[in-house]
Amino acid sequence: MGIKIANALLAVLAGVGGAVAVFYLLNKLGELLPGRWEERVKPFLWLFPALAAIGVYLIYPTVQTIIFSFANASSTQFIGLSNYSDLLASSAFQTTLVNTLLWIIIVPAGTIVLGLLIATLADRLEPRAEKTAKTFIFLPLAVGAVSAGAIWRFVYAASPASQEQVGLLNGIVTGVGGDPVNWLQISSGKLNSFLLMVILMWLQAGFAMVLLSAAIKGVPVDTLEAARLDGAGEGAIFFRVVVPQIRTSLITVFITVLITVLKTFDIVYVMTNGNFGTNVIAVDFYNQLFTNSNAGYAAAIVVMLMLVMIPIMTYQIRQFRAEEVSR
Amino acid sequence: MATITYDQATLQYPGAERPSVNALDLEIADGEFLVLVGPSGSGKSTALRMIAGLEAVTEGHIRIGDKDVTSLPPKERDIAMVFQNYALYPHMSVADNMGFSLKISGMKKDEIRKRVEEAARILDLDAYLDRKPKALSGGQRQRVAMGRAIVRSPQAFLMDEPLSNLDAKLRVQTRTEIAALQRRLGTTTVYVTHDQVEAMTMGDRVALLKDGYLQQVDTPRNLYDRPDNVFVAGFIGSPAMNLVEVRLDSSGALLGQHHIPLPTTTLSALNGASTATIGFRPEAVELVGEGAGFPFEVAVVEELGSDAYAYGSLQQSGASVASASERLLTIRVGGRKPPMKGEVVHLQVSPDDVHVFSTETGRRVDTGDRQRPSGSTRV
Repeated sequence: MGIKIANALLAVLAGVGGAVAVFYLLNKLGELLPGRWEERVKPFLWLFPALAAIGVYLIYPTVQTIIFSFANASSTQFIGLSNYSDLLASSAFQTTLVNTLLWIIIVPAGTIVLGLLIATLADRLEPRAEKTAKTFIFLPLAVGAVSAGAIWRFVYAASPASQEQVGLLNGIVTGVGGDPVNWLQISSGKLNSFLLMVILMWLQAGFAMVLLSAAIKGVPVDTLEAARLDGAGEGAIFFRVVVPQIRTSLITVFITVLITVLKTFDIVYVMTNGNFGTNVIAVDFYNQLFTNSNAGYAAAIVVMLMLVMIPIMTYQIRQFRAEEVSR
Repeated sequence: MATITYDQATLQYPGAERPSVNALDLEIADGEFLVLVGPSGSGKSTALRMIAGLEAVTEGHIRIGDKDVTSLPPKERDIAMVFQNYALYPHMSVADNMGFSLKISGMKKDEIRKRVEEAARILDLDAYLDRKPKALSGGQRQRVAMGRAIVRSPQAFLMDEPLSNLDAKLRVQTRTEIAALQRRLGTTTVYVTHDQVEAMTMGDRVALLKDGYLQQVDTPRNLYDRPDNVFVAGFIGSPAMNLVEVRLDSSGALLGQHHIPLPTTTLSALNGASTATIGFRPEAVELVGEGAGFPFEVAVVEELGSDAYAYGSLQQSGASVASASERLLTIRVGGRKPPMKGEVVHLQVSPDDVHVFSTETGRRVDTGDRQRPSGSTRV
């Protein structure tokens, strides 16, 4: 234990000290340059470590991935667009795309509705009750997706009809006289996919609630009073006065959850490993790369994922900038 | 348009020690411009919000016209309110802000447009109808808030310190505009302010509140000339009335060593008390030559151009009466030749201009002169 702590301290010291040493040396190097060149070159010397890190850890792998997406399974030979055409033609990958699309459509919207509902209702509680309720609803976010998967396995668990049911849902079903259902294997109507989405919504609702609740509290009370005097009912006040005023927070939550959805891996991997027609793009990528050892397919999948992400990220950054300007 | 009546209206917040508004009885005539004025915490805004239905009345009743609205929600009261911070909807254009209530009531689009444009013309907002509130100046926002009230042609306007966010010059200008607009529309208006100048210049009648109690309600002129108690006397008028506690003798009051004769009716009304509070306004003072009146040592002179105000204390046998803690007296002197700092001038106050209040109760002791009909409204 003592050695571990010493190691950790050493690592921190070496890291910070190393960074200081690098910047010190770069600065000294800059000072060696004559007159005006010192001023011109120095900013780049200071930027260099960060740029180098981004280049090595982000840009280079991205470029390499794009290149490998045009190569064969072992990345030894270029095979043109056939990774893409094979994937898009396979029915398994089509299911994955449809599932991912459903996740994109349902989860961010569902999370916002849930978060908005909780935030609005919690806002009407007494301060102490509000705090308690919010803490409990926020808790899942701290648990993490893998633990959440473990918890929800117990909710959806199914035992043979002869045994006692461990799963909450089946406990209820058999309690009212029904037969136990193996929830996660029912792909008709995409039921099992929806059940997995519920988990992510459960996880993200707390995050949505915290942001939206703060936004709702920031809406000036007198605009609500003015609306009340203007003859608006509670529904009209909510949709025509409150929601438009928290629009930017809604967009922020929507996009953050959307990005989380596109990256969703753990929940599906833990619960079904993408079987029973529940596969999503990130799990498919993982299985192609590590189970099937097909680097070509895996690279093609993430490139397609990246192509979907770019417009969303661009929109978010624009939105963020517009907000900064209007402030 | 309608009358508004407070009938023993009381509001006590849960957990508060005393009511914020205490058994308020007040009748506001149809078409009247009534100003609720008082220091902060006097309950004036609360009283206004009680009419709006934004605060629940704990006891008593509020009536608009013949209708008891005590337990009706705001939207069923048909009143419009102008808020201190304007409370404009930031996501709506000026036109949508003004037309929101009409839209909620289900009015046709072209009819809304017509009424909004008409209101915009009155308020000189035509050019800004498509702008968002953010792109408007403070004065324009204030006018949009007014517009939002007038498009509805409501039973009454309620205004909660609508000018307090404007700069001094604009405030004076807008004050006149609001008063003129109200006269033109003839809509019953209740206006809250902490500024007694606004109250005096705008109201047909002014109701002065303190600690939730109505102190006096009367025309501005009567409030000024015949304040009911020491608080009203000190609140109305700028600079404030000089209020001094004095000893009484058989024929009048002693201000330092100087004798002010008081009418026998007043003295008998004081019921043999040994002290009283007398008040006189800064402008009730006349400068006289040496040998007459009271010597007054000037400490500070404020020149306002047309007038000047001199602050100082009465002199007694060559020494100043005022101790450090005592408030300086204020007198108005001619703006052309004000006395110098440190100079001693001689004052005279006409007995007619002296207000006498009981030290014990703070209430006015009637001097029996200068009677005016009180409680009159604009006709």
